[in-house]
Amino acid sequence: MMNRVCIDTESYSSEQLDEIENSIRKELVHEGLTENVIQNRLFALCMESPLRLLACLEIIRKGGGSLLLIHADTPHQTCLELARESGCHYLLFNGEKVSLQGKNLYRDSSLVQFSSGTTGKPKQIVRSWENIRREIFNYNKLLSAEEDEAPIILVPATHSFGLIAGIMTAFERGATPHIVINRNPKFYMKIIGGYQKHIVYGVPFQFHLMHALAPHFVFNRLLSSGAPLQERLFRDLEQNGSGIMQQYGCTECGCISLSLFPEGPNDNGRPLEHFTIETSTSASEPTEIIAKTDRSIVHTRDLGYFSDKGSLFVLNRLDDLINVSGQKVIPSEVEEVISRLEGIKETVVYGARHTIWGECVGALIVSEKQYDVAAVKNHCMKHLPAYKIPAKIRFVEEIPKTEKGKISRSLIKSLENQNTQKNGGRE
Amino acid sequence: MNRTEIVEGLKKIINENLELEVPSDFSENLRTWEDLGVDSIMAMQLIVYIEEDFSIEVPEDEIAENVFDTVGSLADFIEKLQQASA
Repeated sequence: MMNRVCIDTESYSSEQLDEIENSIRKELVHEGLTENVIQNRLFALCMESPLRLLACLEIIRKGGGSLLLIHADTPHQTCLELARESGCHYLLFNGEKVSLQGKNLYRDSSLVQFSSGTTGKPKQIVRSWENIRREIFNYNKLLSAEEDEAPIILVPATHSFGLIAGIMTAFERGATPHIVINRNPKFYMKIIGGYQKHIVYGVPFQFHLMHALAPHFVFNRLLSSGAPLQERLFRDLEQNGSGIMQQYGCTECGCISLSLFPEGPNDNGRPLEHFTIETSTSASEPTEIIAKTDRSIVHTRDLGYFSDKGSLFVLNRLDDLINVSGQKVIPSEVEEVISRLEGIKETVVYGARHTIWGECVGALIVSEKQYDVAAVKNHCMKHLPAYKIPAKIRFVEEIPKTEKGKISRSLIKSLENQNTQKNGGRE
Repeated sequence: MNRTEIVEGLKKIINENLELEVPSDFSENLRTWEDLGVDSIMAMQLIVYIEEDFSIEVPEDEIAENVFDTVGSLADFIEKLQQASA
């Protein structure tokens, strides 16, 4: 399935990709991972190199195995824990193989991801390749992109948006995806500027940066997802002639809807053909978006409505999930890590307001032992990928509770965000 | 712009634009990630502010990771770019 691919300044022909795939396959066989072993087993993958990631993905998919993709900058120990808890048989961490005691066999070759569930631990979502193939097909039908429109992927290849919508749909329609891992926004623009026709896959924060650096830079087409673009940014890009597109989805479903000509930041267009969407038809009374297919019903926990023109508008969430520029963080997961520090009596993690990326992770901590902010961050760094580490930490005597004495993240969120505003945006 | 002004400028950006707490004894030895809490997303944003505030042009090429190690290494990076554009 892999044709050509570009990564940063390197370009790989399909022959080169075959060669890389073959050499990694040999490596795996040498490690004892023959096709027989791969079949029906679950592999956790954490890789810096997207090339290696894609090659392993191909090998395991072809071998009838299943995959759990872990965000590239997750620490080794955390990968191990995640892989164990998920019942993986193996962890492939860059070039290293770790054998684990996987329990269940996966008869359908699948992609396993963590959902941004609401409470407790992240939930495992299993999507068969069959299901993903249908998404790819219907996505391309709606996108109707030309082969010579270069998809430029600025988002991680471990998430559905980058992997399925960005990379796999490109392979399917014969386009060459250009994956950018370098994080210099000026480098992004150099790459984008190198293609007359492009579709840039990114999150609002990245478009914000590029627009700040070069307000006159025109995107032939940009595809934003994960969180709504800021109203101002949306209008500015619209005015400078950029072609804005937006898509909406979740881990359970992949891409749900796609808008080629959105009216505003919340307009996510028409649902993909295999979905029936249930939600409100009134902008003033949005309700939960429920995505149905012939095989499943997913309650997205997002509020939305259909416009008169049949476009799906997506608003805020029903729960406490924190949206850090499109990457979702479950508060309890961060709370659990903070609580491992000695002397922590209580901690609540919530979505703190951030001027640029909308939300960041905030934490209130009651501790018997004296810590400074850096110590807590350092501790979190050892267990969590960067985007989950609290950006705003405050030590308090007591966590504010509701009248009934319960913890309410939305209460804390509004209290804390009021505080920040009062102090002129500074802590 | 001398070295002290550059470090002062960085302190201002990190405090006011990135909204992070900075110690009163802000120095070149501070590590951006461990001591100041500048993560990889913020590092990207830092590039935008560095261009604006120091009136320099950050190159379009890959930036070596160690540029972001400490306040001092960032100041080196800015100094070099200022010399290049002078």
